[in-house]
Amino acid sequence: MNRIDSVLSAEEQKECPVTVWQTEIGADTEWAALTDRIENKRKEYGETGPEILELYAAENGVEAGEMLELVKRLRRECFPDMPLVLRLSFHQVFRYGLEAFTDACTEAGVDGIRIPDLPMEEQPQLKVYLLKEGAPYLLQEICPQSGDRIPDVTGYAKGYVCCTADPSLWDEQMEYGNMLSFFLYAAEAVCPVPLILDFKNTDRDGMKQYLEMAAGLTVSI
Amino acid sequence: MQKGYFGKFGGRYVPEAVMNQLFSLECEVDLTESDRCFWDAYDRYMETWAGGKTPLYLAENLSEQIGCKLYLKRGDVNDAAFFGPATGQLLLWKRIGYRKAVAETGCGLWGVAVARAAAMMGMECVLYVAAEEEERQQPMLEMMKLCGARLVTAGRDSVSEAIAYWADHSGDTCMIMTGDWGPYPYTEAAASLQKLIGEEMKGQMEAQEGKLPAVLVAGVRPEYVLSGLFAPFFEENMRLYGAEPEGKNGIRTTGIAGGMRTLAFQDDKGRISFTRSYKEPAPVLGPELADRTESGRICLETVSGREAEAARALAARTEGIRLSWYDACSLALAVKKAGQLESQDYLTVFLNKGEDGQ
Repeated sequence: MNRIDSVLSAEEQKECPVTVWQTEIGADTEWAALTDRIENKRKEYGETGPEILELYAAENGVEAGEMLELVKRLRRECFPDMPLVLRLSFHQVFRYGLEAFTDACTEAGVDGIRIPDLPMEEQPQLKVYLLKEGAPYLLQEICPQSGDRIPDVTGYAKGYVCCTADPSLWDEQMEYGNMLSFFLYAAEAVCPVPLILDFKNTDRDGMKQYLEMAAGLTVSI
Repeated sequence: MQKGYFGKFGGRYVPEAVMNQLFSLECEVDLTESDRCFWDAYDRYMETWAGGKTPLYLAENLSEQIGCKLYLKRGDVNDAAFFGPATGQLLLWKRIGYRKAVAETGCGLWGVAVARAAAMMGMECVLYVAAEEEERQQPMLEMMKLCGARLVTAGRDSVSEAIAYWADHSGDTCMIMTGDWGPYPYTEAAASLQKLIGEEMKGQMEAQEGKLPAVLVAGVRPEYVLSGLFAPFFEENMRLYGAEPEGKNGIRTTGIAGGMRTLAFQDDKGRISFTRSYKEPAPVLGPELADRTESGRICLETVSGREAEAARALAARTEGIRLSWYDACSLALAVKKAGQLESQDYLTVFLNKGEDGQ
């Protein structure tokens, strides 16, 4: 069973929202500092519920192969059980080779991959390699601008669906209420897997109203 | 062929937040194909604001020097050829209902084109400018600011930064892609606009010579939109060349950049830099150009700095024409090809706006 599914189906998830810790990694990432940062955030938040770790490449440019090596180390030395999600650009995946990348992800213990610049229409070229046993989930993204695409994008989603939102929409009010609430209400109604908020807003109290319609939120560390 | 692809190049590699915008643009591009209102408005802008049709000039002195009849399509004498793709894109987005636009500019002139067109259409404009170019392009940046554009300093991948801004503000902001770059349907839109210049050139050549040239040369800058400029000639029996200066980046390989799958210069880590000096080859090719290059229909050839300088001097000395760096490369390449032509053949070089807007 994919670790993401294990976490999301855990009993405790019903009590407290899932937290997706989001951090960049590079060749100079210090694992001890990373675990400390997570620990500090846990203290700040009090209870955090089930956790997922999302990693993305540092600004100075890390190749997919290097990222996978770092993930392997991280899995071995720090987080043997926590679900790991890799966020990277499709160019990095394409350069590594699509089949080779998905195989390497499986080997490294990656549970999910998130490729923001790979919309639904371009995904079949990668999805064909994700059918193998133990392969990571390709996580889907939706946002208020997705509109009537939401059922199609989320229709075959696995793991969870990331909900992003343009900051200008956070407080936008519509005739029938808050824009984001309406979006999440509609998304929750059609989405077969839980929603995770990625609003680039780490204020969990501020996100409270939206967490009623989502399983958890993403927190940058 | 898969929709949105030219062979293996093209596609839509952009965040989900802008996908519906791309569908709107696709619908608008389809609608405008037969919509006289759009083309009337576009023609009016091109004629009365950008300067209209440009002449095809028989460069007699140059022809004598190189031993072959040479025409220069003077796209450099006004703004129409260079500003067309920016103006057309803005017009399309304005029809859809957008009033704010974001774009990136590598070596300045494209930014000026977008800023000026946006000002003329009463649209707000945000421009991502490569940090390395800021100092060198001061006069052009001043022009962009004068036109009311807000400038944002970008890193080496100014296109991705502009796309990220677009995704974050897609509720009210559209993206103006540089020349023939971008996800589907940007390339089609730019090509259909620039095709008008190609058709104009074709008509002029047929009228003056009664036949088409054996060789047509133009610079390989994204702003030239070669896929559109050369479109009326793809089925003709003639050689099409793209000229570019020599660079230090090796060869372009397939990658994902600027929302499309295409050929791009990449470093050993696969990073693509969009920072581009006007004396260097374009870092990325538009997808249709990449496909036409791979299939051999358009040949891209490089010219050394010395050859370009010599061509620039030759044009100034014999015709009193000041060439931009890319146009100097085009002329240098044309001079090389002149020796391979039959006596009854002629060649044409397309000129466009240069690095300093001249």
